[in-house]
Amino acid sequence: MFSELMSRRAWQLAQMTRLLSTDFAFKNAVATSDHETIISVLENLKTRINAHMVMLISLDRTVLANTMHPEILEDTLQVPEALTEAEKHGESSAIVTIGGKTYQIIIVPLLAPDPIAWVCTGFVIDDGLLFELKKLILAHISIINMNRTERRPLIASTLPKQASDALIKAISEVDIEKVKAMEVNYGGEKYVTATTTLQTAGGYPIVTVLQRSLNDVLRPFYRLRRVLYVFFVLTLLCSILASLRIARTVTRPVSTLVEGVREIAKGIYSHRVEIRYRDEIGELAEAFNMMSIGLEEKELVSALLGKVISAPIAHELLKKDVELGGEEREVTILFSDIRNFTTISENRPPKQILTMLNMYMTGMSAIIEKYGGVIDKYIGDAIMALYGAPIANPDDADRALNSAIEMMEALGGVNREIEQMGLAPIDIGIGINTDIVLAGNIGSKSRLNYTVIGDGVNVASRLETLTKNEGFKTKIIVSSTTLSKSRGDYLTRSLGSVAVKGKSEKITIYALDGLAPKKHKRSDEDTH
Amino acid sequence: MKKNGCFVIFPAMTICFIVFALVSYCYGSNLKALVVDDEGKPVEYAVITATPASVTEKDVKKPSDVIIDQIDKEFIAYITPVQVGTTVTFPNNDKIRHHVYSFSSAKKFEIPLYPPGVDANNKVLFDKPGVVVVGCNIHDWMKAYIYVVDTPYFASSDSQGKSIVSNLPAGQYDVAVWYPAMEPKSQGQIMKISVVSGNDNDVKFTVHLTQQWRSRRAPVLGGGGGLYR
Repeated sequence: MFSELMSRRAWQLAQMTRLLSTDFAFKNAVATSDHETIISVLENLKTRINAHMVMLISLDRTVLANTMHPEILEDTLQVPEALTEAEKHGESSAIVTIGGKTYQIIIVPLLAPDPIAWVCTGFVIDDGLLFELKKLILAHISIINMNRTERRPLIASTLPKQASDALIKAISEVDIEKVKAMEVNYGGEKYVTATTTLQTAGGYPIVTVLQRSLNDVLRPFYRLRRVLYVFFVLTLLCSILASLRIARTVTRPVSTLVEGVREIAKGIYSHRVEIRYRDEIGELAEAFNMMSIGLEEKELVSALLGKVISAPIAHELLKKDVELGGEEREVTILFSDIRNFTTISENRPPKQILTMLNMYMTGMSAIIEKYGGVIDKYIGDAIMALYGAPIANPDDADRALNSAIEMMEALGGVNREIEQMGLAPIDIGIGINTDIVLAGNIGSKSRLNYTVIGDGVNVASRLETLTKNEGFKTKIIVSSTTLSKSRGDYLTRSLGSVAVKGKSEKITIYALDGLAPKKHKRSDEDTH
Repeated sequence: MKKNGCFVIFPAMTICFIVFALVSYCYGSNLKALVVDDEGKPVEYAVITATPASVTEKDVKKPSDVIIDQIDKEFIAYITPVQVGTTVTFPNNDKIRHHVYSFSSAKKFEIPLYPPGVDANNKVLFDKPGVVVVGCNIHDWMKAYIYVVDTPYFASSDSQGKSIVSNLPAGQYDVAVWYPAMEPKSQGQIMKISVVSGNDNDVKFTVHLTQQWRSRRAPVLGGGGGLYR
């Protein structure tokens, strides 16, 4: 770039000098051969183009006039090489040292219209010029005379004194023809150094050295790098935040939904999810909420049904369409009743009685349900339970028997609580019968009950009433039908045959005293 | 009859001889010159001069006037040899003005910017021998050479490098060649010839040419060119 700059400068100077040489008045003045006039014209031209010296050289190489030595009429030429060059090529440009100063000189012919003389203009190369050039190329410039015998090799430089000394020392140690670029350290700073040999006339090379502080060169790069780092980190942070946000908008509703599903799975149907999106996830949340509303309603109905009617029946009812009608099936019916309940409840606050009754019913119902029995209904202080309807089990009879035994055992605990309430302990009787009965929804279309009807039901109730008979000495009376259906071993006593109201045949009844001890399994069987 | 015939033929032959000798004496011999460069190529416009060793009365010849025209911003002709004492007219046949000048030592003159047309002020007398380079101050490329010679015997070479200096009276002559681009040492070559009445002389010059300085012609923009007439 510097070479380009210098050659452009040389071209511009040549152009200016060329322009001067075509000046007719100048030619006229030269033709007068009057030295004083010629010097005066040269001075004028010098001022016109801001040159530092102008010479007029004759075609036979004599200096006719020189603004540096106006008093000398004819002088020998100090720049013979440059003139030879001009004679060869029409004009020339060179860097020469005259009187301790270095000039860029331009030699062009004075045409009239054939050459009548040579005009040589000179422009000093000094620190000032280099500082001007430095502004353009943003680098330190030094011009060094490579003539080894030269006492002051530095022609001009933009460097401070010590730096230029360091440069001259460094440059004198290398072969300038071969090494075109190097690093020079000065004052702790590295300088990138490039050299160019300038066009010279005089046999010795003149070298231009361009230097830039490495830090200066790299400063914009460092700044850019810093900006890029900051930008990179910011972008990274932004993208992380953005991805988190995007991820959350996707995962949050999903996890909310998952949580909702877990709540539903736990049976908490009142759970609702709150997702206010207008996309597919929003639709899903809405559907989810609709589902949980539906489930909650169903659960509500189911729970209510469970309280009013037995859970298996409720389940059965919910399973299919509720319709009137039933089916004949074998069912074991258990009746239990509190003895002398009317006597007990006399002179007692009804609320206390109700509490006592609820406590008793809760305990007994739990046992019945434990054995898969279905509470058909509570009839005052009496409990009617079914085994085999609506769901049949092969051991329905055993379930009923075991329920009865456990109810008797549980009665002690219930009585202790009743006594704590300040009431007299109660006694109960249980009757169990197995028969084929009609099971199904009985009632009107608007209101119906799942229940069983038939003689078997009445027999079971009748058997319970028989326990009041002191002579039997038992609290549980079981029909032979039930006992024959049972598979387990029980302690039973035959109570003979009894006639039951509404039944033509007598039925054989047994007292159930408990489970047969397992050791005496054989003998127990004999007692049947 | 026969005697009479001879009487008639002899005087006729005698008269013819006398007339031939007179014509030969009056018109003299021709000098045929060829000018070539180092490479043998013919040189056009080269001026051949034959200077008599001793100037006699008959060599003093009043030179006729010469015209160097300016057409389309060029001098016509490029090289004009003239005898000392010749008046050259520089008519301007362009539509624009010209400023003819010369700083040559043989003749310094200047015809400052003058309009088209022939003018009485355009006449310049060349009274010293030498080369006069003529230019135009406002058209750097316009250039003409006037070669002022101190002899009436000269000629310019044609495109084949040939020229004929005619009617040389018998006697000794220094024959020289001149051409603007000729190297100075070529200029020094002089051939001595002796002209015998009725005999033609042939000379050949080989000249070494150097590069000629010529300013670039400005591009034609709008007016300025073309003939005035």
